[in-house]
Amino acid sequence: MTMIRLEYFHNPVCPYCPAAKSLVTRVVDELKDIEVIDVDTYTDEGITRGMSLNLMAVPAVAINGVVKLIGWPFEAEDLLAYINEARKVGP
Amino acid sequence: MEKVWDVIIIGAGPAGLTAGIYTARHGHNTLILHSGKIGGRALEAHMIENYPGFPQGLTGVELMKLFHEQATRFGAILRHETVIGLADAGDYKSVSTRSGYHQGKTVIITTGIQRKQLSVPGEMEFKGRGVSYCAICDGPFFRDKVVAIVGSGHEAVVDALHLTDTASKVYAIPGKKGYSENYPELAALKSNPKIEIIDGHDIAEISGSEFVTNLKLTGGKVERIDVDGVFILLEHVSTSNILVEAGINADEGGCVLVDRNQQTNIPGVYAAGDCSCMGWQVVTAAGDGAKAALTAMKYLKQRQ
Repeated sequence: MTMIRLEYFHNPVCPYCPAAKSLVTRVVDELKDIEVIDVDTYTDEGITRGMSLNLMAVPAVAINGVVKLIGWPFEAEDLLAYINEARKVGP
Repeated sequence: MEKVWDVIIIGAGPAGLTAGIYTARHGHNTLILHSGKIGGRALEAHMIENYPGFPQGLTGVELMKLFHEQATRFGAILRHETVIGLADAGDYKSVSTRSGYHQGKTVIITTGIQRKQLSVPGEMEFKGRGVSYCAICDGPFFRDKVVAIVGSGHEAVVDALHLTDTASKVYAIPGKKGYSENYPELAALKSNPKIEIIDGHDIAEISGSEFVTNLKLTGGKVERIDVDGVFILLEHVSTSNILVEAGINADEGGCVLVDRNQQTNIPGVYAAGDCSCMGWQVVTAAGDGAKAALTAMKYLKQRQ
């Protein structure tokens, strides 16, 4: 099984990030083929990673290095659809 | 029979959490309904330096975490449920959410404000691709870039200064009427070499290709500025349909009308914080939340 790499971009001052994190956790909780990486954009590493993907807002989700969801709110169905799409395409 | 709460608080910002601290501490079963943002607008404050008891200041996130902790310590129950209806059934108030409904003997409304959108072409199209509504959240992405900040309130002034930490240049665009008040930070705003204030103009359009590249302005000599991002920080109070349908009186600006004890026109229903347009500060919201709680508790005692 090929692992999907899901990066969840957030930072400690973002008011919408806890809700987004809760949704991401709920969706990926029962999936076994996903590596979830928390990226804090208030760290040098995190902001560099975000900017390398042309990210401009949090919360955001990138799947296999492509930003799929930006800003809040987003829906569980959309996240799941992107994950399923990545499964078909592969890394 | 469904559980009847002594107090249902709608909203979990400074006013709602403070009201919850008071009512729960006095042993009233208290339900705080929120839409996923515990701390409200205060969470967006980069630094709060005027909340008594914290002489060094602290971030909005830190302060609201303490409010939350204090409310739950006394037994207030917080639930992430979006409220879709409120009805006054006399002795009981019925609060409908997407997950069901709750009955309360009293209701305290602390729904805060809704941020106004610019409603210009390009705003929705470039949301998350240069258009942002939270300077402290997204400011770091604009390191060494040119940004504009639109708004005439205190938050717009403070956040423009904050953005100079990362951006190479900040255009401050307060709109045709200029800044709402003579804020203490205005002098620093005017003298900051990274900030250019464009007075008397409104935004007509946000343009770009994949990302924002420029703003088209109207109302003055400047017709276009090239930017990498635009932060929209307009403040707006909006009484939702829920409150209007419940028969709660509000003024023309949408501010819920309350008396000096935070009582609305409906017995057993109170309002506090930004939704009643009083103060716009964490400390005043907390104070109003406490007053609303005290009035609600008096009402509960009279009903016994």
